[in-house]
Amino acid sequence: MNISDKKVQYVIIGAVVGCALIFLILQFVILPALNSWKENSAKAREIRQKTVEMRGLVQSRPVVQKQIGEAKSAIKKMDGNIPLPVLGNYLLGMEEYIRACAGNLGATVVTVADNDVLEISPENSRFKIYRVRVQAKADFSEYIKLVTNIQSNNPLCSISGLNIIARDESPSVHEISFVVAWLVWLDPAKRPAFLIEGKK
Amino acid sequence: MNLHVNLILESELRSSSRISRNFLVKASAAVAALLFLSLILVVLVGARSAKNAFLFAEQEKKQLDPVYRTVTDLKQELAAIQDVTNAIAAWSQTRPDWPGLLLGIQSAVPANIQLTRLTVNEIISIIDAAPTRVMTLYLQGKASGDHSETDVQELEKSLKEEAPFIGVMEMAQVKLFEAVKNVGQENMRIFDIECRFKTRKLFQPVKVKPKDSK
Repeated sequence: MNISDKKVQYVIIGAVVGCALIFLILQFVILPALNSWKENSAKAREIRQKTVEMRGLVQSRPVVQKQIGEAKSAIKKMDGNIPLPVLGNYLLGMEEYIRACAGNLGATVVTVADNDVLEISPENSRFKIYRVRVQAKADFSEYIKLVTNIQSNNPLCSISGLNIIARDESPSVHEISFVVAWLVWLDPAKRPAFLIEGKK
Repeated sequence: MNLHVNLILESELRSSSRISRNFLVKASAAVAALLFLSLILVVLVGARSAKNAFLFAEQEKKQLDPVYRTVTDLKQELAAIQDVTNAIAAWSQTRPDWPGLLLGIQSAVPANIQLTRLTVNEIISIIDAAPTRVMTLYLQGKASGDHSETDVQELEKSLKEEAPFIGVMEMAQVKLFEAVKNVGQENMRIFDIECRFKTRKLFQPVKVKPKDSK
């Protein structure tokens, strides 16, 4: 073997070692670093985007607090029209209300009795409908006045059934049976805390 | 005869160019190595700065997190409170104006018609996944005179198309119209009218799921 051939051999060995070195550096240094660069950049971008959204929400805090205040005062205002049971009894208060509405009108409230309790939405409503049946005697115009009083004195009180039968012996005075429905809390003990605190 | 004899060995040959091939190869190798080292450096520095940016963003998010959670809780509280106000408002707003409707019935009935029964039924039904007020009205009555048929038709029409029924009534239909069979009341007709009000949707609260900020 002459010197020139030896040199060529060294060059070839050097080239092979160099290629292997380059491959190793690419495989174990550059590619992992590139992947980590890409991953971290994507994560940072995502977090920055999320942070911008979070900042937007955080900035809305005064508005949300104001809205909560407004909603609470609106509920407090309406809460007076939602009857609460007295020792578990709703009927006493409702009968009193209906008789007060009849007042000096020409309508005679004969009886007020429990009718039924309806669930508005079985899954997630905080309210139910409590209905009482009222038997009364009145002419049609007086009855309309009674209904007007019942519905106008309490915006959450509603006529939900009615049966008027003409009487042959006294055509102007009718036997009237009607159902009055109230919106009541599904569980009065679990109504919003700020309403319970207000009553303490 | 000329004879050309080259006594210089191949290894002793020199290029006539100013830049030798050997130098070119070495310089190229050095530039390539330099470029390769620069690439490594750029990639490593880039990866490190990306990691720093990620850590900084995460730190920033961590600092913002408690306030964000507080506001999220406030938002959930607001949604729950608004569910209550909406439920109350919807109940109140969907309430039929019964005084007006009864006055309307009174004025819609012609003089020769006497109502013998008036029945209203209201039920709460789930329609399209929302609780809804469904109301029906039944009228029974007697009509006398030659125009009893047209008068009953007029009453039916009024219940559909006249105030205060227009817009709230979906259907009004005479279900029965026949002669009274009693002797001496040949000119008398009895009738039934069935009316169906337009349904009124109550508020359907949406279940709020606790939101995770992560």
